[in-house]
Amino acid sequence: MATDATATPLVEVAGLSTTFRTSRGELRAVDGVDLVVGHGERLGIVGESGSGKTVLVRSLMNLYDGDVNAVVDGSLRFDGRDVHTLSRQERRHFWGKEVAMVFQDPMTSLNPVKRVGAQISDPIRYHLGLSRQQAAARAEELLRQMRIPDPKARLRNYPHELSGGMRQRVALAVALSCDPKLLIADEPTTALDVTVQKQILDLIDRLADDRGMSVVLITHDLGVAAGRTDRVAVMYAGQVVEAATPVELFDQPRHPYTEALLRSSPRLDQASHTRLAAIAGRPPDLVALPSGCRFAPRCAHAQPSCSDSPPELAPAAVDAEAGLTRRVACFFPVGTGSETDDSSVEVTV
Amino acid sequence: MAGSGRAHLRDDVDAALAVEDLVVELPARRGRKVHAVSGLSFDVREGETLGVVGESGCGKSTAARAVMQLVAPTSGSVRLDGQELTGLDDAELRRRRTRMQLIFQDPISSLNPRRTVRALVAEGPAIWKKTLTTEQIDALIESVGLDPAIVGDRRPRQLSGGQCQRVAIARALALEPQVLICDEPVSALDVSVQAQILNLLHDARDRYGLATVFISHDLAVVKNISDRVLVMYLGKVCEVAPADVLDRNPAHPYTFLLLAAIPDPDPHAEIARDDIVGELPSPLDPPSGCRFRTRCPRADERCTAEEPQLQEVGADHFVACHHPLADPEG
Repeated sequence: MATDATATPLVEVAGLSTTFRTSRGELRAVDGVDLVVGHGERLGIVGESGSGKTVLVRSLMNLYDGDVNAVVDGSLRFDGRDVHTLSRQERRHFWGKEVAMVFQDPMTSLNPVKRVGAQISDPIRYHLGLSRQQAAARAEELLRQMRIPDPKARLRNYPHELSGGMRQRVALAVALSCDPKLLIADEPTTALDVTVQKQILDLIDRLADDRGMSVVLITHDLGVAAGRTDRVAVMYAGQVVEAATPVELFDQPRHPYTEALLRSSPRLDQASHTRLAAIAGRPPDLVALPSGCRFAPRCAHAQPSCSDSPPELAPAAVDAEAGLTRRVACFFPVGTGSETDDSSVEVTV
Repeated sequence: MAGSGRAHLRDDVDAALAVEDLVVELPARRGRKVHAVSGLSFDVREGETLGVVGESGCGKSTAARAVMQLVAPTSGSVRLDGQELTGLDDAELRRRRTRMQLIFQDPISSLNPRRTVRALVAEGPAIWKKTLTTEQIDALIESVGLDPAIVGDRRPRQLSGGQCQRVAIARALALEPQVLICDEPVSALDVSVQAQILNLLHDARDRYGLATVFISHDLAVVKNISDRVLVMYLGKVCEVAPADVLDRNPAHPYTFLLLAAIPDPDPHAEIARDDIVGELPSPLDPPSGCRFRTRCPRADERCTAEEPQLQEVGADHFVACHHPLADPEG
């Protein structure tokens, strides 16, 4: 879905950094992330374990407020309001009514000793002030929208009586019970089988269409993000290294990490026994980060100068000329013939 | 579907591992039985990789454990290098089984946290009173792409998931196995690490001529590593085909459905919504006839009454279905 560029975006994050105090020192899980999500837009955040994608959205939800070991810096605006300045009371209605989240494992995000019906009704009664009966009717309607067969009977079930896919549908019903403007789905299908994964992703797609809801979909699977998002941000070691539309990203990745990620995933359209291009080495230690580009030690195109200073997330020279908004944090973007260091001069500050 | 039958077994004596009509029924409450594996047959030759693919609950892990005799099969035969493993006494089984090694999904919890990498790699041979020299141990650690000088004295918690999986592979190779069974060995790993491990398994197979059974829920991964692929559903075999044929030419409606569900890493592709119906039936009370019929768009009365048997539909391509997709390519 296209975003109206003139309107205030739903989410505006600038210079977001989240640091945790650990026994080994300061761990910089998210470092200087700028992010915009428009009304009705679907943003994919893709990255491997430890890339900071979950910490990023938890910071976005303001969930680290009150955690003495976490420091969140930067500006966070939701629908024009600064999230940091919300009072406790306002924040309670921010969660659930404005932003809702579904997690990877529905068994641990649902309360195991409470019936499904109560778990969906409670936020409805709290946020919208409906009566018990009205809330129950709405819960049943929500389960129907989640395509759960026999919703009335399901309301009386406990989570353990449902299959993984059904539990994730219930978690979605809880999340959507108060019509949030933004749904954050953190690896919502990683624990599920492919056929169930497709059902859940299709459901999220349709619900977002019907409600005009914005979605942030976090996944480690580039394939999941490909067909279901308007824009994809690729994260590596706490930073966004590339942001583009899925078509731009898959047709011509600009960041060597994106390229390597695409080439290391086995694909069905490759012949059997195709040698995969594995990425050598490991991501950097977030407690002792390298000074320059964080991917440089593993990068096939790295030059000595890459380790001097960090690249900035900005359009590559060729893309800027073509009027594209896609951005990449690399001195030598892939497929731009930038072995001449034109673009690096431009990008470096 | 998933039917039974042995049409896909190849008539040769040199199969490194041959499994016939394997049945595993596990006791459940109130005298009921979980029909985990119902009549599974397959064979794997030296240097060949058989991919086994299916969703959770299809019995693929139980099958692997039953082949290893970690759960006793209810019936059926498992022959390793021509020798029957079922019905052996414990001592004999333990001795023969060293030739067959298993690699698990979670590499960190499958290693003893208190041992060093060198001790872990040397453990298998040591049980059989064969002491490896430090050079031999280090050669094994090197063969899986780790530097023994760096990781040799570390313990599992000091290693990443990918490194632990490498150690698990080195441990398996230390016993010079003929057959390697990998149960979702890359499912817990990130894609960049997954590629490293897949390449390593490829190399190990080529170097040692291992017969490999590679179990996974991920068809793209299975296609990459396998020569032949076997699709399971609810304890039965649906389809067996060469790895390069299965995704282009699926004959079983379930294989077709599985393929349709895989997220296509092509942003130009249209996503067809809502073409998947229903959920996996309970293995406590599997459907009669073809077990897939409750979710199959092609099912009719015959599928309820009669269980389909595996039949050949193409070169080395077998399907257990009364109404196979005739020419899915056309």
